[in-house]
Amino acid sequence: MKKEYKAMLILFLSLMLILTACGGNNGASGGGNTGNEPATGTNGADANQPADEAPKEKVVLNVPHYKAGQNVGGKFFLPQVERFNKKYEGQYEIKIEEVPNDAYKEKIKLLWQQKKLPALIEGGDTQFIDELIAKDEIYDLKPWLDSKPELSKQLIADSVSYNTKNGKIYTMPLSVIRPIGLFYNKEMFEKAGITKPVAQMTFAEFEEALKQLKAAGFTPLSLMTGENAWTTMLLASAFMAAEPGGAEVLQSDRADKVSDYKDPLWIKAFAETQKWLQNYTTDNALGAAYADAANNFLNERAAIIANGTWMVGDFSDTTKAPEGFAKKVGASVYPGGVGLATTAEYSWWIPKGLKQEETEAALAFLEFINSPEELEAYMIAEGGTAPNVQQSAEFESKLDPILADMNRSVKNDMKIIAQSFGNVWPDQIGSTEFAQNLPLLVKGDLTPEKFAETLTQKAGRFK
Amino acid sequence: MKDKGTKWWIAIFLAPTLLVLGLFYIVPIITVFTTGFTDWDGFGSPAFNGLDNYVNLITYDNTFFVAIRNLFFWSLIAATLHVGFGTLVAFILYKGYFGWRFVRGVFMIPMVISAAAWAMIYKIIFNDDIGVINNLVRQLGFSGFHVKWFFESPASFWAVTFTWLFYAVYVTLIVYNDLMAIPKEIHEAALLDGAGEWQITRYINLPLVKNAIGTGIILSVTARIAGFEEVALTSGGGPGNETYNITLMLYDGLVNYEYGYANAAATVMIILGVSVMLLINRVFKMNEKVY
Repeated sequence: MKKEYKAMLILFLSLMLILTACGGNNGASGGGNTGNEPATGTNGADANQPADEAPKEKVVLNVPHYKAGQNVGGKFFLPQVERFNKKYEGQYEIKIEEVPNDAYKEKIKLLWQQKKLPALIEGGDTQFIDELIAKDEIYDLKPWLDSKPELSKQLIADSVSYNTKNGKIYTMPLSVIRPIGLFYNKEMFEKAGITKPVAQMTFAEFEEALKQLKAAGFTPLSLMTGENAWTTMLLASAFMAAEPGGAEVLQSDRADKVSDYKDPLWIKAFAETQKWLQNYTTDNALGAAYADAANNFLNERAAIIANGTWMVGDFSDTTKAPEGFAKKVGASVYPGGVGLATTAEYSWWIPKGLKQEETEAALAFLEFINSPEELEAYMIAEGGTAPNVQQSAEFESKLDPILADMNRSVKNDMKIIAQSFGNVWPDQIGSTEFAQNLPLLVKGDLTPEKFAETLTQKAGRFK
Repeated sequence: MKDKGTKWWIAIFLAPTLLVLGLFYIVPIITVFTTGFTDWDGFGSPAFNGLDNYVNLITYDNTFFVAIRNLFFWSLIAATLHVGFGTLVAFILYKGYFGWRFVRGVFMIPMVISAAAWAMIYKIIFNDDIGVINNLVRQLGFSGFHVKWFFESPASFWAVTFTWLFYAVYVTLIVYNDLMAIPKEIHEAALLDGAGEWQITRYINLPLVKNAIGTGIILSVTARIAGFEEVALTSGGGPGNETYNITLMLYDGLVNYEYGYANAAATVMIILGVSVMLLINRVFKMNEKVY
């Protein structure tokens, strides 16, 4: 009997040991990526509820983000974070952890599953955010915005409307919109004898310009089918927006997703895409990632690239482009006067369940990046317009000539503002299926009609 | 009483292992199996939906059949060329030719490289601009050779196959270990009977390592069933769905919040894996002693 007791005791102890080792501290529902060192007694408290104690030591927020490392967005974002850290030295500090752009949305979902969401998240998977909104797991910014009238009045009304659900504002509305256009090599255009401004061309005239470029010995377009086929998708979106009825399908504040592409409008856009990929792009477009497409334009292997103004910094970066390249670059909205922009997107958000001081630090960051000075710095660095923000007298003179070029094109030639396909497609189509099926379209294995049918079928799979 | 005491001790020492097995294998497998019959987005509670996920998985479009077709051919290649190559290297190493230690060391290098890194290396090897393959072919006089290996059909199937085809280190290791375990007396007796090197290899060594080869086939075929990085990071399953496998279908379910669908795909993978294991066990009579 004594032996049996001993055996039972050992069995019990070993089970306890294993269970203790397997178990972790899973009590906190948030703040897993935050690191304020002192214990303040508000662990896991809903940040919408006031806490008893004020923070006594510096609050450190570890924020995973894709605008870091080699990502072009990091050029402005990382110094901005540094400016924030300097302004709030000793009080708040944000530490950016680099996450590849493609992996960011997945990383955020994974952190949510682990209950370790960071205090600040920029955008993410729309469906995922909708789920969190439905579950009321996102901090309501409305009371805070109501207490900041100066900040509130500079927000774009359409964006406020999109971000407001059930009377709450879950994600930070935009103050700046940046219509996406294209960049072109002025020298190549001149040698090819193209004189008409791109924004004033129709897409038929644009094709003639592509032919002229080709005849002059240049590869006209820098397209790609790898990753999410970004540059290809933008150009195709602009084409469709310029077609009669296209802008209605892609209207800039459209919030619902399109999952049927069998309409002739879509098929025509796919047929045009097929033509561009077969006749007017680089040899490596098939399978090319964004880096390849950018590299083709930056190293003058292609005359035109569709992209946002955040790319402007690369033109004068001598590690990416030859010396003096920036002077050769012109910027414009698309033929037909199309600019691509959306107000129907989720921007920065804060999860619920953080410690109060962490939420305060996150709010301080949102206020900081939306201050008139920071918005102006942002527009100077990456372009865009802030309709409700008064710019300083020096703003225009500080602007990069290419950004100024784009601003002029937006102001003078933009007739249509529409969303890109990426905004109106379900994530599965935008991130995978479109690009994955493009090689079959290019090789003629799929007709534009069959391509549209395939995408429609894929979009229906995970409705 | 002594027997009873011994049983207790056995139970005590087995308990932690059984607990770990239960918590980390049995419970997840049961969860995967049961939630495969539910509509579950990973947020709320799973709702029973019968066979909907399986019907969706198999009949929605041709992706499942493409995945099964790919699995069949990849398994065939794995069981023959892949395992054959690993076995051949093991036999060469066993002979102890000059430089065998160096060759063994070099052959092991892929072991320390992650599958993801390996996939990226192959993506560069098959790159049209800077890749070794296309440049080599062009150097040989075919200046117009511009196959986009991971983005054209049927090249993508073969390009994906090449990412793992010669990565047979584990096959080599287990076959080599079995070769080393063959008693010297057997070889000496064969030599005395006048057997040549080929006869010893064919009639003694090869039959004596059949279990190791069988294990190698199980490992390599199940690796094809569960393979992810080599497809996801190279062709992404494309062009279209031409290099899809069931793991990618599972992944699609996960990223689209269809956990029930993903777990139905996982259940199919488990069933396939177990079936392959049982089949190869039977074919190679692996439960029987070889000597």
